[in-house]
Amino acid sequence: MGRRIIIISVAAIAIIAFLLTYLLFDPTAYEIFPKCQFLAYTGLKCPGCGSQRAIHDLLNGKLCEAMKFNAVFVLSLVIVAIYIYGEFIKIKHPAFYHAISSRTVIYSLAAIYIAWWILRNIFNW
Amino acid sequence: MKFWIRINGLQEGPMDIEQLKAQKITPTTYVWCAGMKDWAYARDVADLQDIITTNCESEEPENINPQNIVTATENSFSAATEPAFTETHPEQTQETNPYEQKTELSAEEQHSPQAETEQKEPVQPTFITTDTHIKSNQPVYEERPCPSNNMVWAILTTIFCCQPLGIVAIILAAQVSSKYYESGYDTAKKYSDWTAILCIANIVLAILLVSVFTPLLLFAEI
Repeated sequence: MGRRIIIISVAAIAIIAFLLTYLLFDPTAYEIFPKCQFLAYTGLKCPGCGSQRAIHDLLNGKLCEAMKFNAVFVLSLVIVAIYIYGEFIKIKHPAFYHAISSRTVIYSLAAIYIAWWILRNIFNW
Repeated sequence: MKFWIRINGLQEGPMDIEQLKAQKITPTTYVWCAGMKDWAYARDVADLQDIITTNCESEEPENINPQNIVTATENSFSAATEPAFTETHPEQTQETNPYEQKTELSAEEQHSPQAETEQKEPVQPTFITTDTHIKSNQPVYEERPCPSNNMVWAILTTIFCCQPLGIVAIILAAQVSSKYYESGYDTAKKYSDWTAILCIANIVLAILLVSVFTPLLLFAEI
């Protein structure tokens, strides 16, 4: 029991520190924020490029700017929320969990990420 | 007394009668509890009669098949013949012999002693794998619940780790649920584990690149 409390509090502190960092500091203004390695090695953007700037803008309540930096990242937050919700209500609504875990749905998500990866490099989104 | 049920192919439980009330138990929902030889339809389990009937009364009255109710209750206590909205009394149900297992499916198991183990702690259900079920076109269910597909981690690593491995993890995650119904738990668990391994590999690779390889390369250039 004690161990569980320690894990939860460490995770909570880490999440709060993460959110505070991105709330207070603009990733474009400081060098210490990690850079995309895919971009560094290939010169191409990855599906997550712009996420740090998007997090900063989201935490400051600027949804439109966040969408400009990485629209699929904002969409992913919604998708992740749906999957976590599905995991929690698995017992009450197994049909919902089954639906979001089906091949069709997950393949569509994979297609969105692949298409986003290619298109953002072509059109420089 | 704890019950296990199957809804849409997922095994849920253990649940007591009160929790079962919250579930949508139809006459053909599979249920199991300690002491039962095999999974059975809810309509064949005497304890669950009033739960089924209340659900049917309130939600889908057209599904009541009077014949089923009669056959299921003729040897058991009279709960099902009571008005549909009476409350269940778990204590009362424990006193009677609740494990009337009227299965059309398992005639060969009829000789087995019933209700001997009824007060024991529930053990994991033994699973329907007998030929009788295959012959009668019953779905063969898996005993263990479906493993997690780790989709949350697959998506997060795709976004934050900047590597193509994330896409592979998503495609593997797509197999978990489907393989669970097609080939069973073991195959699904394999895909679930590989999704997790790819996500971890992706995170480790990203951290190594950011903190070790790239600084070393830059240092070498200078």
